[in-house]
This record gives sequence, C-alpha cells and structure tokens, in this order.
Amino acid sequence: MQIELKQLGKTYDGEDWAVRDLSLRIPSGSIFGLIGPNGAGKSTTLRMVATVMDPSEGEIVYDGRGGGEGRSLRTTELRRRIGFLGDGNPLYKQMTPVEYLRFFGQCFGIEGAPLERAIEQTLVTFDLRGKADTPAGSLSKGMRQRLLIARCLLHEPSLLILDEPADGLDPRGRSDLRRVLDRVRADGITVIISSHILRELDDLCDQVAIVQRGRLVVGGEVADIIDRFEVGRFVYELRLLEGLEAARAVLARHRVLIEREGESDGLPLLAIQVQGGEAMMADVLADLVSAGARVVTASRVRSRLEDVYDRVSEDQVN
Amino acid sequence: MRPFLPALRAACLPFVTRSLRGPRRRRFVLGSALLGLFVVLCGTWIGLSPGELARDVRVSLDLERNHWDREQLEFTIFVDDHRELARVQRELESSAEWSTPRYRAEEGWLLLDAVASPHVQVPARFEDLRRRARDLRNERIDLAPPDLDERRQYQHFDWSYAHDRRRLEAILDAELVPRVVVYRSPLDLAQTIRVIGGLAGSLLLLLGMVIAPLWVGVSVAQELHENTLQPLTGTALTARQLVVGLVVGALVPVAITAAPLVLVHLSAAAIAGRLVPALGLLLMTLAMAGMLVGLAMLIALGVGKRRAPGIVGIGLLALLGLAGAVGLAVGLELRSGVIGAVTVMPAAGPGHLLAEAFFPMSHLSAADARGLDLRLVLATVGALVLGGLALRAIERIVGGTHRDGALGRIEAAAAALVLLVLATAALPERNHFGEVALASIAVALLPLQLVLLGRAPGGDVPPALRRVPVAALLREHAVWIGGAAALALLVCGPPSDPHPGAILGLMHLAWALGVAALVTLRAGTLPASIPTKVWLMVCVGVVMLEYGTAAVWCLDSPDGALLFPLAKASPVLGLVHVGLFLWIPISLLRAFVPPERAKVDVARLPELGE
Repeated sequence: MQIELKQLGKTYDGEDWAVRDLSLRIPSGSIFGLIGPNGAGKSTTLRMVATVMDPSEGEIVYDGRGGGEGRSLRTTELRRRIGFLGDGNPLYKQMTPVEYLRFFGQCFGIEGAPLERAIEQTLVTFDLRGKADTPAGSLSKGMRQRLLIARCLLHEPSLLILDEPADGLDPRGRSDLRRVLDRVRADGITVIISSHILRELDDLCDQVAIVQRGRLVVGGEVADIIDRFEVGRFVYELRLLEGLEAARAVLARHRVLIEREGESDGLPLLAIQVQGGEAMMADVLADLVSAGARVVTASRVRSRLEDVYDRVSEDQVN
Repeated sequence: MRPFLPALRAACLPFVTRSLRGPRRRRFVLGSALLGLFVVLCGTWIGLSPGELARDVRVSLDLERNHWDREQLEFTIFVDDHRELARVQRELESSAEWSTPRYRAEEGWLLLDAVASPHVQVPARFEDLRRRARDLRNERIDLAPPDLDERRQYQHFDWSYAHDRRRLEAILDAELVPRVVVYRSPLDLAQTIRVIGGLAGSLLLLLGMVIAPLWVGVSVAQELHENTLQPLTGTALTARQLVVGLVVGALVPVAITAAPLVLVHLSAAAIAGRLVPALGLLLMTLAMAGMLVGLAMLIALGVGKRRAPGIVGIGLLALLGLAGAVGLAVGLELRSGVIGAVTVMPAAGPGHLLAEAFFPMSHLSAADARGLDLRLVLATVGALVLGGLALRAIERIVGGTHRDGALGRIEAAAAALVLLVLATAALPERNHFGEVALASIAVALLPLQLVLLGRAPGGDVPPALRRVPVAALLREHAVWIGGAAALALLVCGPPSDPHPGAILGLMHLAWALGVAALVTLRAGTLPASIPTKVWLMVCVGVVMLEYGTAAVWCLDSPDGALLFPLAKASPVLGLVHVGLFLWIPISLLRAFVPPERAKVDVARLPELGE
C-alpha cells in the first residue's frame, strides 16, 4: 500500500501543534522509519495513519484514496488492510496466544476455517506453536512482542504500523523483531516503524523521516540522507591488551578523534571517531597492530544515521 | 451503511467468543442450571417446609404470621411432631396445676374476663359476643389464676380492633379448650409456586440492577486500565460495534445465568395467572439495566484509567447495591404518596411489579393505580431513551470523536427533558408552581450535571489544554432549567400568589444553578489539585445553602429572613457568606481562562533537509 501524507497537522488545543505541515510519500512495499525524540509527534502521526485519530488539518491518502481534509478514512475496508501496533500495547494476560489471535481475527471479520488456518500459520511463522496454549501473562517479553506483531499481521494487511516495537526488548528480542520485519518485507507489506533507537533502523529501513516538534526535519532514502549530510564518520570502541601509548600515537597520525577513554573488564577502552568510512578503520587497525598495540575487540557503536541525527537535531537520543 | 444484523453479529462474535472461551461456556451453563435448580428447591423449601428456619423465612417475607400471633389468634398450640402432640394432649387431659394447655386456657379466660368487664363500653353490634364471653367466663371460673388481680393489669381488649375480635371468637368457639395441632406451613402448592417465581424474579432483579452494570463497568475499567481498549479501536470494528461488543461480551455470562431464572419466573407467573406483571417486570428490568449499564460504563470510562478495576468495582457495587436495595424496598411496598419513586429509583418499578406478579396487595386506590401505571411506562421509556443516549455518548468517547462533547446539543436537550419529566412525575401531587419547579430541579440537578459533562469537550485533547466554551454551555444549562419551569407550568398552571421577595429568591436560584454548572465543568474537564478539590467541595456546600435560601425566598414571603442567612448566626459569618457569594463564581470562571504559554515557533526549527 502506498501512503501519502499531505501537509498533515494535529493540534490538541488549537494553538500548539503536535504535528504540523508533515508531507511524506511512503512507497508501497518499503520499510519506512520515523525517527525523533520522545514527544516529537511520531505516535500522533502513526495514530493518524492508522485511522484511529483524525488529523486537524491535511489529509492521508492510501493508494490514492483519502478521507478528505482533516478526516481519517475510517472505513472497515481500509482498517482490514492495516495492522497497527500502538505504543505500549498490552495483552490479555489470561488469554492464550490462540485465543488472543482468534479474538483479533474475529475483530477483523475473519471467521471459521479460514481464521483457524490463519492462526495456525501465524503461530508457526512467529515461532509460537509451542506456546499456543500458554497464558500470555506467562510468555517472555520477546514472545509477547512477537504475538503482538502476529496479531497485527493475522488478517494479512498491506500496511503494518509499528510504534516503538523494540521498546523494552532485550538483544535477543530485538534480533527476533528484525527477523520478523525482514520476513514482512519479503511479503511486500509496507511497514512504517517508529523508534528512537536509531541503530535498529539504519540498515533495516529503505526510507526514514526525522521529525522534531511535529515537523519534518529531513526525509528520504537512508543512503541519500547520509550522503546529503556528508556523514563519513564512524564511532568504534577499541579494547586493548597492551600498547595504549602506541595506539594513541597511531590514532593521532590518522587524525582519529578519541571521544572517550575508559576501562572495560579491566582493559583500557578507547571510543574513537573515524572520519572516512570503514576502509579507513581497516587501515587504522592494521597500523595499530604493526605499532605493537594488541587490540582485543574493535566494535562499531554508533550508526551513521545517528550521526545524521546528531547533525540535524537539537535533542539527544539514544 | 452495513446491514444491521451482520454488523451486530460482527460486533458480538469476537467478544462473545472471548467471554465463553475454553471451559467457561460449560461452567456458565452448568452454573446457571444449578442456580435454576437451587431456586426451585429453595422456593419449595420456603413454601412447604415445616422447619423452624423455613418458618422464620416465611415470617420475615410476610408470607406467614408470627408463630406466637397465630397461636393467639387461632387459640391453638402448635407442636412439631406427633410425639409432641401426644404429650400435649396428655397434658390437656390431665389436671396438672401447670401445663401449656392450662396456661393457654388461663390466658383465654383472662381475655374473657377483660371483655366481660362492666367498665368497657361495647358497640351494640358486638353485644352478643360480649354476652357469650361473660357466660363462658362464669362457666369456667375454675380457670381463674391465683394471681388474677396482677394479671388483669396486662389484659387489653379493643372492640374496634379486628385482630382482638377474631381472637375472642376463636376462644369462644373452642370453649376455652385450645386446639393442639402439628405445625404445617400455611402455604399451599399454588402459593409455593408463587414463592418460587418471586425468588427467581428477585434474582433477576439482582442480576439486572446490580450484577449486569457492575460486570460491564468493571470490564470496561479493566480494558482502560490495562490499555487493552486501544488496540481494539484500530480493528475493523466501528466505535459503535466496539461498544456493543464490549457490552454484549460482558453480559453473556449474566444472560446465561439469567436464562433458567427467566424460564422459572415466567412459568410460575403463568401458573399463578400473573403473566402480565411478570412480563412487565422483565421488560422494565431490561430497560433499567440498559440505563444502569450505560451509567456504569460512563463511570468506568471516566475513572478507569486512573483507578484500578477493583476500586471501580467496589465503588459501583456500593452505588448500585444501595440504589437497588432502597429502590426494591420502596417498590415492594409501594404506598399512595410515594408512587412517584418508580420514576427516579431504577429498582422501585421492577420491585413493585415483582410484588404485583407474585404477592399482590390491593392497597392503592384506582386513581393511584392508574397514576402508577402511567409512571411505570414513563420510567421504562425514560430509561430506554437515557440508556440509548448513554451508549451514543460512550460510542463517541471510545471512538475518540467527542472533541465537541460526547452528546450533541439535541441529544443533551432530549436527555435533560427526559430527566425533568421523570423528576416532575416523581413528585407527590402538588398544586403550587413554585414547589413543583424547585423540587423537580432539585431532584434532576445531579443527573443534569452528567448531561452537562456530556456536552463538555473531550476527545484526544489533554485536559490541561482543553478550551471549555463556558458561556455556551451555561446557556444550554439555563435552557434545560427553563424546561423544568415550563413543565411545572404545564402541570400546575401559573403561580397563584407571586410576591416581590420571589425575585430575590430567583437571584439565589440562578446563582446556585450557575455555580453548580461551573463546579461540574471545572471538576469534569480540567485537572484539579487537592486544594482545588477541597475548594470545589466548599462551593458545593454553598450551592446547597443558596438553593435552600432560594426556596425560602421563592415559596414564602419571609418576614425578617435575611438575604444571606449565615448573617443570622453572626455578622462575621454573614460577611463570609457575602464574600463567598461574590468570589466563588469569579474563582471558577478564572480557571477556564487559558494561561499564557510560551508558544513554540515552529518556523524557527532547523530546515536542514528542505
């Protein structure tokens, strides 16, 4: 489903705007990331796109069809094409995954054998078959999140809207989420996802939009944005067994900025900012080894999207 | 628009399936069948058992006279079984100085002695009874107790009292020899069937007036508290379907529980030949339950986010339980003069119909009975209208489309009119315009405040940012109050003795009603700190004082009454009263003035990407 936001605006009191003048075009089948700090208007935007909230001005057009200026297109047909996972979505703790999926399936008008088939298939897809009859309150957080997303996809929507889906998930849960989204992308479903954890989005999203105080700051394809803002810096953390002084000398020679020095697990740790891409980092590492610095680990800690965000934003994000 | 029945099915199916998932369906069906069986067995036991507990239950339900009363009235000694019967009969035949039959006979003799006394004036028509009493007394002088003078002091007989005459006749007929009989329930099978029907009807009333609204209210509060309602708003169900589904889903267990009770209730009514009041009871209970369900949902939607479902449930139980108990108590013994209670107490009408169906009492005049029937119809129609409007408001709140109020202007006016009609119909017969107008406004004032809240803006606007159109809402409120005056005019005609002091009364009335509306809007639409809540309670107290003052000045032409009555207690209090009179409206109005806020200049945000 292709979505177009035309000068979308939302105000709660007629004076301050949660979202203002937001125009975006989200191509069909893409994964679109909405980035911004808390209170930037991400959830408001997503709720409007999910048709659970009317815009104060502007229009949202779904595959060329809109509800008109200042109105959501709240039709049953459209709702059946949208899967929406809002912020902080809870589960009915006493219901099992099967019961939960059946309930939501019926809310989307699926019944009988097709519903049971869809539930079975969804449980398998989301690796929940083994927990099909376990009360949701007893599932792990990652499983619950999978179940929530499964609920959004049960009725085979063509648009999936996820508001902060990785919030509160552990690394394994996030990895699961990424796998799920890759699968969704493969099915050609348009995904709009919001997050303030940018590392999750930069290599997952086809397009992103950075919003602040309800306004679009920058939007487009991830690579284009990085190019546009000439972000050629990468942040790495180096843990050294020995040769700290030699390492400092090598880093100075390569004009690498040391952001922070510290200690990790009893070893010296350097957080460095490398200007010039991953090839440059490979050269630095080779020189460090040649100079006698014994590097135990070298890991990238910030994405280039975060750097773009730092450049354009006023607020700090994770 | 989707066809009605498929849309209704689509709305109900998920919630009904959810309510009856797993073993729940079987448990509910089994539970309800057991309850139906229990009602039949319990009713049979109450109706026919000679046991002491069953007898006490019958006495407490006014199905049977007190045991002692019956023994006195029928000059009978009740025994529990044949063994005791033989023992007492042996005592009766013996000439022992003290035995139960001897004691009873002495009591009877003492009554004859009191009746035969020459100091008692006897109505001419009872002269024969007195003669018989005197003859028997003299004939059985052997029964005169040794402490006759002392026991005479406690004897009392009133010829005008049918109970006393009946007792006397029983003694005379038995010729001072008490009957000894094995105790049996005085209720026959037909009466027992009525008891069973009444028991089933009482449980249906409990389910409709308390359990159903409580269940729905707690369910909605739980959905809100656990934020599970939000995902449902994004499904293919419309807000109306969602509300219908939530209600039906929550009520399915109640309906399953009620099904066998309805069957028992109607069967018993059909056997007793009282099907019409029994059907009326069901219809009225459904209408009242619909209204109470709407009210419970509105309360749950209002406080469910901030309060735990348990707290909401306890509050609702207290509210519904108290209203139900009081209404039922009034309705079961509805007397002339309080028949209007059926229009303002939801359980009173069904309670009266329950009594009519199974334990009818002809204690109302024909005119009262006609008035009562009219009020029952009014109450039922009113409940249906109010319930429908409540569900409409809930639909807008759940759908988040109540930015301009959960009720439209016309809907709110209709609700206000219904409330005022019901309040006016609740008043005892009065002929004075002022009394009717003031009383009907007082009765309807609290529910009118709920309607006013329904007109206040809500929606997705955070409370702190709301702009409340106070002037427009006060105008609407004034129109509703004007409706009360128009109704009073319609019922009583124009005021017969207007006096100049009434103008001052009207001023107090306008102040009280205006401030009541402002307090409602302030408490219901804007955030309030604890000191603000305390201040609002003070305002409510002053509103009540002012309403009382208004009533005094409007209805009487008081000599020496003060415009600010607190001044009567002390001049300082009088000054405080004047101060509150002036300051309260100002303080309330000030709260609605939006504070100056630093505006975000979005134009100055970086435009790097553009």
